[in-house]
Amino acid sequence: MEQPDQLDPATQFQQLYTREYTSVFRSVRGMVLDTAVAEDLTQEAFIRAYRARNTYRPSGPPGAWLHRIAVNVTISWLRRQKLARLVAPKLLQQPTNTDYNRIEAKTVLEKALARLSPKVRAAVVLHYYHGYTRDEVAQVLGIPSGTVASRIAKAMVVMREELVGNDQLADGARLEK
Amino acid sequence: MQISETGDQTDRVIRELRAQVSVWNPKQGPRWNDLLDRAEKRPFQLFRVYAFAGAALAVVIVAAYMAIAGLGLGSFSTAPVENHSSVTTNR
Repeated sequence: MEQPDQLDPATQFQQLYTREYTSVFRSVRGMVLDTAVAEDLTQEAFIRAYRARNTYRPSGPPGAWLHRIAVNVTISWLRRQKLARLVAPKLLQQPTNTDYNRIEAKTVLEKALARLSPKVRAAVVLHYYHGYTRDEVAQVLGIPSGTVASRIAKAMVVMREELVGNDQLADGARLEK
Repeated sequence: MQISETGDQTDRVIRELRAQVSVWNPKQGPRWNDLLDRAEKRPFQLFRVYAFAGAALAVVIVAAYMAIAGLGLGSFSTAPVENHSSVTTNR
């Protein structure tokens, strides 16, 4: 991935924060598919990065380092959510209006993304939107490069199916009219 | 033909993905002062809770053992020693 200019997290953290915030937010948003949660997690990731800014080693771009922290924060949050759902099953609770709005607001592409696991969604966003190479995605996610390639390929198949399926449904609805 | 169709669909997925992700914008945006405030607070360390709870449990178990043994209650009490001595005194 091309970097405009490298900022040093130890001395230029505020500039790095302002510049990378939206980018990191979009990756997290892709994983959790919820704007408010993504914003909280992005801030949490930057807090952790700020605490660790002096231990940063320039083995890659600082953006990749920030994305790695954000992915770890998000995965921890998703694990806690999963555990919380096991302890207090949501099926027994009344759904709120927010839940309905959230579901209805989803576009076809978000529905397609929702069929993938959070880590695969992160890989897709990092590779196709941010332009990270497979090796960089592998570093960010902490998995082998070959695994990234196969997961992205499978993700594309799933997303194509979803989009084509949606087109066929739309065509069918138009014919019925 | 099938390959190019799949390729077209892949291009479309990538185009739609880029268009979709680019409209994901944060509502609040960067909050530098909030970051500084929260970063200065000591992070909650769960392992400290576990270490404290473990140490407290060990103290309670040892104290209970000592109390029961000291009061001579239950199986912790010292068993009465029966005298099986066969030595008899000849008078």
